[in-house]
Amino acid sequence: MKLLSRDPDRLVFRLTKRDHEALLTVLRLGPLFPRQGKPISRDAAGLEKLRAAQEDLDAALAEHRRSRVAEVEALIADPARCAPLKPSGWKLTLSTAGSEALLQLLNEIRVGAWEKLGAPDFGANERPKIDEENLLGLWAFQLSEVFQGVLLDALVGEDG
Amino acid sequence: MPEILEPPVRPGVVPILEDQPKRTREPGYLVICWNDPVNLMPYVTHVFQAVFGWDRPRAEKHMKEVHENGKSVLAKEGFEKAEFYVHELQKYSLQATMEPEA
Repeated sequence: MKLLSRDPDRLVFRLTKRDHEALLTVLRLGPLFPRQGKPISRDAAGLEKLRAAQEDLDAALAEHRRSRVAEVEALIADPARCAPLKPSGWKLTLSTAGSEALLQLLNEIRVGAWEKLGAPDFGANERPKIDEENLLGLWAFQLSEVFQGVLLDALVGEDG
Repeated sequence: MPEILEPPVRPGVVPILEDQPKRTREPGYLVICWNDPVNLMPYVTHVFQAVFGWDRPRAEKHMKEVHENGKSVLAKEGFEKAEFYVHELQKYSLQATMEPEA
């Protein structure tokens, strides 16, 4: 996946056929790596106001995930935004909102895969075992990071 | 001629928080981002810029605080605004919480 052009409201990428297949595959793997719920607060679990806020957060995140997946699926299926190139490859055009949605979804898959791998601390040299159970998670983790890196580089270029 | 009394607060002038009696203030909540071993540093910087509208140096300063100190206080707000920020940060899969100010 390579950046072709960038303006303040739009990023345009060229994807090879293999990039396109890999991106679609990693996005389809998302449901295999659901995120674990996160606390809204660490120090105030006893406060009634925060208990209600936790329920609101859980509901808001679940709804956000659903709408973000739908948004990215629509983006990928829209020939105006994801179009085949001749002789091969694909052109992916992302608005600011589309870039953020794809970035969030890729990161969620990456973090979900990491959690499923046992949340290893790679910085402390913890490495998940390479076996049949972990292989898909490792693949999704690394591939989503590759796409995320390209997107971030393109977004950083926007504001220097 | 009647004396014209100036209102205690002129229109369009917002009273400074520190000038208000303490009992009238809404309790503050700290919006904190905690370190984790998974989110990429450029990603965290980008999220801070996207959520708070910060420039890159300010976002990077807080990202480094998270990475080096284990956490960074990103904002001090009333309940609803703090809750909003935690929602936005968690939508990006960052480990963000709101804690009542001590």
